[in-house]
This record gives sequence, structure tokens and C-alpha cells, in this order.
Amino acid sequence: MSADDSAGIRCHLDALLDARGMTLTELARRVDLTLANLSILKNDRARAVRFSTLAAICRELECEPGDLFSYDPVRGGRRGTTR
Amino acid sequence: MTRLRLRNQRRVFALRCAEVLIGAGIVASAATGLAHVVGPNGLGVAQFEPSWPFVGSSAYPMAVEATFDDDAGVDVTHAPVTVNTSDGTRDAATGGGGLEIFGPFTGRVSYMNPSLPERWAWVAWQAALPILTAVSLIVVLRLVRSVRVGSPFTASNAVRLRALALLVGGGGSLVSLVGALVPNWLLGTSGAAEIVHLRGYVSLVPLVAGVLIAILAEVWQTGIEMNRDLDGTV
Repeated sequence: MSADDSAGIRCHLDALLDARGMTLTELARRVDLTLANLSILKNDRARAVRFSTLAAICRELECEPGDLFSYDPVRGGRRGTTR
Repeated sequence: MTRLRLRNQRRVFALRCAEVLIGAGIVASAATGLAHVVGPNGLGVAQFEPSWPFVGSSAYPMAVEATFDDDAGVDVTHAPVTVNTSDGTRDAATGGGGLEIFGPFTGRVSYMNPSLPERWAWVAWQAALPILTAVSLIVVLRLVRSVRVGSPFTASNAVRLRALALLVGGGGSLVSLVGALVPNWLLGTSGAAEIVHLRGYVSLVPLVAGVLIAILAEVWQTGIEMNRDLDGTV
């Protein structure tokens, strides 16, 4: 999977975890996801996120989806532009 | 979790059993086909007597099953005898209802000294199906193995399914065609041509099966693409 797979979407899971003093392993346990999959999300290598995963992360980190992701037009390039 | 693991273990066990059965089928089919090729009517390397299941009784000597015409004069000398009684025609031995035996009769036309083209046409006819079966089963074995190791939706499996469709549809139809032409040619050019009923038809079953497998291969390909879409989804 290439770095472009995130299509310019950046995940701020690291910062949110830091702010709450929670480890990735702990979050993985709470949202019932494998550490490997959560790492994919954290490192911007995910191509898609299930609503159920998003809802579980937001529930555990007490945040909104918008806090978790942002769009980087430079990294997104043409693939990231809306038509 | 334990139930899931148990179910998975059962699935793996069932697939392993299937692999063993398919493996046995490959060995038996390949041995049968090769036995015809190296046997007395083929290369003549192995001069063995028939021994089930590797060499059928038809492998030694060369023989072709035939249906005899009515004017062939085939007669059943020990046919049941009937007697006329006041109750009607009865079987003399059992006293039951009378029986009448008539043709068409089937039998085997054995070739005592077949020519080289006759022998090889016969060997090709006899060996084609077992060899095709063995090759097809090898493809099936690889498919089943990939399911057991947990990665069935791969591009190589789609290729295997397409190959299987070609083997069953194309190869099977060819085998069916050979099976229709060779006995007719062997009997039609023999001294028995006047007394046997020349038959032979090409079965459409392999073609239909091949088309169905080809459709399955396309469905598989869609599954691969969907799986690829899911790759990277968290």
C-alpha cells in the first residue's frame, strides 16, 4: 500500500492520544480493533474507514470525526480534489 | 472465540480430507492414463495384466464395446424356456411369467492384431479422459489448498478457475469428440463393420460445465476486486 492511499487525508490519532494520555494499544483494546489496523490508520496508510470504527474511536477519545482527520491538498493532489 | 476457533479447525480438517481425496483421485487418474500409454497397446513398455483400478479390463487386449445389429445373428442359446399352460405362457423353470429375450445386444469387439494407427487411436481414446481428469484435479487441489490457508480470493486462483473452465469445457468436449469418432472409426473399418451398430454422439455436458466454471471465474474475479477494495479499510 503506498502513502498516496490516504488521498490527502491526515489522521491526528497520535495527537489525540497524547492529549488524553492513552496508548494505541489501550485504544485498540477499547475499540476492539487490532493494533496493526489502528497503526495503519494512525500512519495515514488507511484507504477507508468504517463508520463503526470511526464512531468507536470518537466515543473512546470523546472527539468529533473532524478532530480526527484533516485534508492536506498538497498530499491529496488531483486524487484529493472534489469534482 | 472458542466456538469460532473450533469451527475453523473443523473447516481446515474437512479441507484437508478433501485434499487427500483429490490427491488420491489425481494418482489413480494419472496412473490409469499413463498405464494406457505405456501398456501393451501403447508404447508396450509395460506388459502387465489388467489390475483394477489402474488398468481397466479393456486395456488388455484392445477391445471396443459395440452394439450388434439385429441381423448380426446374436443368439442367446440358454434363454429361459417357456411353456403354454391354461394360465397362459409361463416360465418353465420358475413357473412365473414367461420371458422373451431379444436384442439389440452389446458386446466387445476384440482386436487380435491391431495396426499401429488403430492401437494409438485406441490408446488416445482410453487415456484422454483419465489424463484430463488428473490435470483438472491438480488445479482443483491447488484451489482447495489456497482456501485452507485462508487466501482464496487471489489473482492466481482466478487464473486457475479460468484454466479449469478451459480444461473442462474445451478438453472435455475434445475427449467427448474423440470418444465419438474413434470407436466408430475402429469398428467401421473393421471386419465387424457390417454387424455392429455404429453410434457416437458428442456430449454437451463438458461444454455446459466449462461455461459454468468460466462464469464462476468471473464472479471470483469480482470477489478479488472487492477484496482489494477492502484492503486498507480499518
